[in-house]
Amino acid sequence: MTNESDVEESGGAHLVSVQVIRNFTVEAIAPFLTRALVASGFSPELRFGGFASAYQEIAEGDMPSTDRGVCMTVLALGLEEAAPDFGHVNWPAADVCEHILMLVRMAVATWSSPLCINTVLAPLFQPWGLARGSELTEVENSIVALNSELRTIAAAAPGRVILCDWEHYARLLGEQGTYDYRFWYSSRAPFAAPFLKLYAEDIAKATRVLSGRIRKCLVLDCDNTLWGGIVGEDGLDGIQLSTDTVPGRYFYEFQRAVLDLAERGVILALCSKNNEADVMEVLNNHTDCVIRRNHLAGWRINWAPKCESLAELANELNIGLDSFVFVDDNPAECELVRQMLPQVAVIQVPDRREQLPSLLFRDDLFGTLVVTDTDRTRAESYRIQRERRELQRTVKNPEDYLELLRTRIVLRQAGERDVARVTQLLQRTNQFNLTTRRHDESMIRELLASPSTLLLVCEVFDRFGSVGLTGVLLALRKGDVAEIDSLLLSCRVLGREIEFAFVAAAADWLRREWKTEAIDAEFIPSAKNMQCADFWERCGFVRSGSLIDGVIRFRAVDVTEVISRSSRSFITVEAET
Amino acid sequence: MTNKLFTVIAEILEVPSTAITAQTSAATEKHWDSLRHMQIIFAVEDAFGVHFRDEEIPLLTSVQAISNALASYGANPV
Repeated sequence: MTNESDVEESGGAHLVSVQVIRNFTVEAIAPFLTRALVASGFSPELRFGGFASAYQEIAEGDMPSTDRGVCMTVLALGLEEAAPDFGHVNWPAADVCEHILMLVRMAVATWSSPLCINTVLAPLFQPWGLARGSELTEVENSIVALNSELRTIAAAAPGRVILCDWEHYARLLGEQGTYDYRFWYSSRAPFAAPFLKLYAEDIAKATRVLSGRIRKCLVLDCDNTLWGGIVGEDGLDGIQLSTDTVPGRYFYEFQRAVLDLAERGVILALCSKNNEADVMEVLNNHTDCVIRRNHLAGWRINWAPKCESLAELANELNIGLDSFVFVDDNPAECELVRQMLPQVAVIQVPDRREQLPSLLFRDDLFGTLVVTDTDRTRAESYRIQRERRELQRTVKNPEDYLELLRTRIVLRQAGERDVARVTQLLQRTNQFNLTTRRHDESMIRELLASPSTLLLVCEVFDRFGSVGLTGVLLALRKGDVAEIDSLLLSCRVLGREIEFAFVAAAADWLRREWKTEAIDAEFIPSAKNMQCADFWERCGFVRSGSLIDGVIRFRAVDVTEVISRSSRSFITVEAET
Repeated sequence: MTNKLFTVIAEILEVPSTAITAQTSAATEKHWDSLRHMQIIFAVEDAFGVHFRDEEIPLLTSVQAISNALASYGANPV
């Protein structure tokens, strides 16, 4: 089984073209940006717009589409060179801010390709000093208002408009790291190398996320990583982990940072050379341990080499090693993983333990552009998966396992609230997808409005909790015959015969509501869906011919037979109206 | 002969590092314009941990000059 969101990722150097539209000299970013993109596995091509032509370039519209994979536009607009009096008395800050906002709005409204915008920096030095008159206040308020508006624009177009927060870089770096006056006055290039590096990193990160290369799973060592000391020697009460005293508090705060990541959808796992019982005792019984067993999607707590354990975890969780981040305090373990599994991102716990709490946020390795509700509940769904696997291991007979799961499916007609999830499933599901028709969101809305269309969705529950909306069936009414245009099931719920119960319930619905007398169905073979080649026949359909134009057709003339052959006694079916 | 300085400059000029010699300069390399000059200065400073003075920068238009300047800051260009 594979999580549906993992299927489309692939290796190899992706082509990316980045064009920079700017109102100042930013060419010095080129080497840093190239390096950051190459380090992220891209083969980049950079292009800089003209010096005084930002307006025309934005108005001309999208960059010409090329065959170069991801296309990213960086709109680098600063106050520094936008008007000659920057920072001086009578500098028209309000007008300059308005102009910049106009340019950004125009780009966001007319461009469809992803766009990096930025907050702007207020002048560091101003002539007024402590004499805060109305002019200074006006200048500062204009800039605050512009930045606030820019943040709102980015938040309103997640995944398309990405905010590179110059204000944040400047706070991190201070004057020295932000400005380079040598080139500012000679070449209209205000920014120093450290500032440009952070900027380049963010652009590279956004590009990485847009091309689907994200880290998803955090694998943690235990001793001297999740807590100080060695649990096997120091015992539950001897380890350093505390809400109010150091060094224990460094580890407590680190754990909280880990949970923050889990909250935004990062999957958690442990990989530690330890006795499992010792570690579990901490997770279950230590009062200041905030990471609990329930947060974990899996673990390898044993004496096996960590490379083997990591590979096993990747296999168990169905995600690539290239989406792992591994944190360990032992330099030898870190080095070994770097050598043996170069696709894993390895972070070594810093010698200066006070840096531990912010460690995971520094590089934002798990960068995503959007956090969805599914991300927020991911840890829960992986926990449920883990408990299911544990049950499966303890039960010898597969039928007993299916019985013990107490699966319940709830069917209903899709509504507006389901459009996003249905579209996501149609776009991503490969394995159990009979026709692999990638209908898009507008198409789904059209289908919802049509009276001769049935879009059924299926939510799955079992003794461990909800698995979520994981099945979609789309049927078209052609008189007495119903034609099944699409049928898919997320790979999360495969192997549990839910697909049969789903078809039985759908056939029952068609018989009752449309008085359907026969059902037509299709199988369109793809590289990934061969496991469902005989599915329709197993449901009681009869194949009506050979492969024609890539499609194999099936028909069921007796709907009742389909229902009886596909129903499963161990799956409860409910219909929601 | 390859050295760290050659590698840094070659990356900016987008030529193989074997094409760089001590004699390489803005006069011999058509790529070495004022923008690339700024990139070279940034990249060299970043690689060697130095910070050139503003009056030096316009003079650092050859590999030899940069190498000498690095040496004067106690950095080893090789």
